[in-house]
Amino acid sequence: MTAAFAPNSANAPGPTRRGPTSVKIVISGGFGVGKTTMVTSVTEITPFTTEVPMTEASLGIDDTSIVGDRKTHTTVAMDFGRISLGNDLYLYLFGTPGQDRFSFMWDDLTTGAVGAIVLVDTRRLQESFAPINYFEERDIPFVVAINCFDGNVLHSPEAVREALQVAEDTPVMLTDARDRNQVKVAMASVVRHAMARARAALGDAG
Amino acid sequence: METLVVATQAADEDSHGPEHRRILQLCEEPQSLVDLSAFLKMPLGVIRVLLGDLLATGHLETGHYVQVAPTSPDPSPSTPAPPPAEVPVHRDLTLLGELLDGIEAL
Repeated sequence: MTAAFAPNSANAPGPTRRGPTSVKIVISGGFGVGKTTMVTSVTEITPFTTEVPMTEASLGIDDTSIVGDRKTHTTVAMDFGRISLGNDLYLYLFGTPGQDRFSFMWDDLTTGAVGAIVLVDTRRLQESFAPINYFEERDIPFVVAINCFDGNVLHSPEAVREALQVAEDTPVMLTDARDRNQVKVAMASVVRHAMARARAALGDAG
Repeated sequence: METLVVATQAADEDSHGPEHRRILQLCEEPQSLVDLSAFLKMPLGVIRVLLGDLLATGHLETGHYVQVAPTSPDPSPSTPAPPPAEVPVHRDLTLLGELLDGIEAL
């Protein structure tokens, strides 16, 4: 057997990676919910962001009254960040564009994703329906992460689950998009959920 | 978009322009389309074309992930291995497990 075709471990038949591999997790949610912040919290490269100052051109289109005075920049098109996990494995985080008019980019961003985090602002729950529907329709595993702005939790995860009508097995959690550890927990939760779904799917098939 | 590419050969002084050379230089480490777009401050569409050129001439190759079918308990050396098949990432428990370990170790 040549080295190039040797499995990673001699006694472990099954999937074998060859060469550097990338996986991605999509971070989604409504306008101004903290997607860029979340990507920035964990990435190891300077996050590539197409964030630009909000201008008068977006007046009347992007409603900032609901997100407070602090939102002065918005992400046009997308953000991404990268985390090297060692062993030639790279995790990419893609933040979806917050504005509806860029929704055409979603298919590109979500193709081949392990799963998604839907960030939720409990003051504007209605903005979460579109991303949730999107992932449900495409059978992409997702978790709901409630961003606690300044530690404020207006609604419990149970109440949010009820309001958004997400499936029983979909994790709903509190998070803080600025906190690296909490973002890690959310990412791990997506992967666990994807694994549970994959096991269920394989079980169905067999 | 996030597929990784890595350089396999150095740039040819004659045939490669500065953009191609810069890409090959960056790709000594695995890079993705989006990484390159960010580093070079060029639109994704432009990078896509440049990468296409370099992939076609074999200066770059893409990282890939393949499933090797489980081997029988006593593999016979004479039996050729079945061709590897692509597994969707979100169904690949080995990869997902590795990913989870990686995230938790951050």
